[in-house]
Amino acid sequence: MTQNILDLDGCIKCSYCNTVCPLLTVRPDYPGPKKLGSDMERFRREGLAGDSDWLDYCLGCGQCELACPNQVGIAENIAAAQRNRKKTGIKRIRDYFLARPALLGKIGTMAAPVSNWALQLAGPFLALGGMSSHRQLPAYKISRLVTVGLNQSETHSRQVVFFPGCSIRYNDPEIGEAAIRVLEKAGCRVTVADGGCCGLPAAGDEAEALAAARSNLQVLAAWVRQGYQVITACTSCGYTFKTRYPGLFDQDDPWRPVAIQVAAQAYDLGEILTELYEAGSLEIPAETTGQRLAYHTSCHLRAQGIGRPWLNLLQGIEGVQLAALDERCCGMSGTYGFKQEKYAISMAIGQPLFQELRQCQPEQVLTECATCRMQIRQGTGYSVRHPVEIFARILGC
Amino acid sequence: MAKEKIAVVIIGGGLAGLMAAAAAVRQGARVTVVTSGPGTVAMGGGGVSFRELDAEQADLQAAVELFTDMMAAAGCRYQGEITASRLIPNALGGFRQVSLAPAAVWAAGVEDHQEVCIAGWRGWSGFNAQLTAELLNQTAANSGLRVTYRAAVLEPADWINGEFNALSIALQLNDAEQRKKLAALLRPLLKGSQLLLLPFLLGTTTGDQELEEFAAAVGCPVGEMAHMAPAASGLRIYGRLQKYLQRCGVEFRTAYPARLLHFRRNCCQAVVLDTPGRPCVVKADRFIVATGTINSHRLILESLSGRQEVAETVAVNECQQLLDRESRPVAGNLYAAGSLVAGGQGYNGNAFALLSGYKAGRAAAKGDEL
Repeated sequence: MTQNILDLDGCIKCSYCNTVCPLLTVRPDYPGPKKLGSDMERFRREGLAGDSDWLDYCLGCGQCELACPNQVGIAENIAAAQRNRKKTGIKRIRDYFLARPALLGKIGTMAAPVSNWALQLAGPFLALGGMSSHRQLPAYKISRLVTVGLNQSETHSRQVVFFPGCSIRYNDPEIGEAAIRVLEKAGCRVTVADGGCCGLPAAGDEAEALAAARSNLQVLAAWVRQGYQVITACTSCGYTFKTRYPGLFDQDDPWRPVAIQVAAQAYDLGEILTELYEAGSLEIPAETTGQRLAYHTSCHLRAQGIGRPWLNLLQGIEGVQLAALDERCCGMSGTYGFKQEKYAISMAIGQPLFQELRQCQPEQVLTECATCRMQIRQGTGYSVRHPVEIFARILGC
Repeated sequence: MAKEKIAVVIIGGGLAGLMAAAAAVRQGARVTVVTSGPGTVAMGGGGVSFRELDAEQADLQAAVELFTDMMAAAGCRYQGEITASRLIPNALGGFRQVSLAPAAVWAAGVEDHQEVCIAGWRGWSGFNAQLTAELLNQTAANSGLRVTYRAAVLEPADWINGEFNALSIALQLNDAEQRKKLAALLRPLLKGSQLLLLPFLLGTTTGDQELEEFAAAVGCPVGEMAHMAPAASGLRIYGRLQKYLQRCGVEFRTAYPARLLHFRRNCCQAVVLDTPGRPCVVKADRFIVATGTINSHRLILESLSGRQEVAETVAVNECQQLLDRESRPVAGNLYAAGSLVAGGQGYNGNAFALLSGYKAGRAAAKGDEL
């Protein structure tokens, strides 16, 4: 979004943003996106004080921007103000590491299973590091994501590069493996991208966000120039490629056109599979297990503006019983729900979703977002998986 | 995927767009609503007046029936009928004639010899119960209405957090416990009044049953009235309608506005959304433009012969097809509804939205030709 004073004039004070803010529903004392992201932004752009400790409590879910009838960059303004805040003490160290999940992933997988054992033992001491001791931490798994060669036809094959992202690379590699198999089955030639974290967790750390963006753009742009499409199965990585990368660079920065080029070729896995299915590249047999499924929409999928491709794809399969849950934030918001001072808020935001799931009583919950899966598991005890895992089972691959 | 169904895309999430979605989905179409945010319907109270419309005209009865059925199913019941006329008060001391309104707005309507208690908070900048009561009494006297208004002022209670305005209070009153607390505070203020009148604040998602429970807890009928936008009433209508339509299979593509409509050989092919990364192309068989006149985005019609912006007001034929300057349909599969269509503005805006939305949705789904 163009950062100029005029976009704030798009704010007509309708307050729709406040009506959708998940934080405001559980903390009525929170000033709300209209004040923090629009009203106070006027002061900040004039160089006047527009600071508040509340800025750190914004989840960054982006629902306010989506509800805004004039596309004012409310969440973006709050994120920029967050970046300019000084952090001190243990929170500074904690946030340094939380902004670098790839670093944690490398350490974690290098030493797994020792690291997983250590993580379990560390539970009670996490509070010392500013982390919530109530939060169940994800385990690290070692797996090298490789292509398997399921696509038999050498002709007509679409070339795609799969970007795993941290959670798939270090915690849930089986999702990446399923994604690769399904893409190959649909006739794609798949390559797995090198590259680390997409940089979204570093939204509050400008230097790190830029470093992550540059290193990923370098890798991905090389593939894009060869005609490859970039596929991600993580809605936060996809959201970052599409909405964040171009905005990280100034108009005359040579990285900017590269970011725009990559963003234009970035696809969510469900998005590309829908295209391939509609083009007739994918035959889907009927589902026979009769498993009752429920689908949760992640905030970062909504922010991509591509609808809910997985929901439509799965609901279109004969025999699939899939209920769409209300579109609401689960409260986890990436690393937010790990933080000691935010854990209670995170769980409170999740309550309506947990309640809905208890009523719905599915046998399996599905959602694309890794941290939504963690939150729903913790809040309900339900098994939560990525839709591609079920899709791969139905396809028999 | 249900490919055999006719795909209808509706551009605009106001009352006309949502009504078109309801009508099209009832005809068996596969419907997608594209909207950059809640439509203008979310700004107001939701009252519908048919005062200046021909009540006998074709489709009006059917449109209203579909609408009231749908709203009841969505948990936001409407009261009244096409020929009804009821005066509902607003915070500025005026009365507005409606034929249909959400139950809580309908309840606020003027009844003969009624004594009404208007509640507000001291120090609340958006609404002053004392002033509203005085103004309403004056207007009522001038208009010969036999109704009296009396203000009851609450002290800012400890459970009010955050910004002290109607929306902030409404958001907190989505919680049933908070509504119970408010009911307990209000009950002793009634002193024999037959109606309790509040500005729109009883929650932005609250359903009929919960509003009835609130009235029961207060001990008398409770009505709500318009003050400043956005109105909790309109947000309830939009939110509940969206959820209801989603349950009926309507897909919503919210947040990013439609920018372009692609034409090839006098046929509309796709709508292009201004999504991040790259524009999202939504193909369909029929298209309905219901972008309204308030807070709407520029929509470009693009064909091989050039580009042309959709005008601020447009004309339609009897099939609701969008007409060009020479009064010919722009395309066989392009329809328009709502205030965008000339004549749709003014006192009967919502009524016109219902009627034109219904006609466009039906025509698009059935593919009525001229």
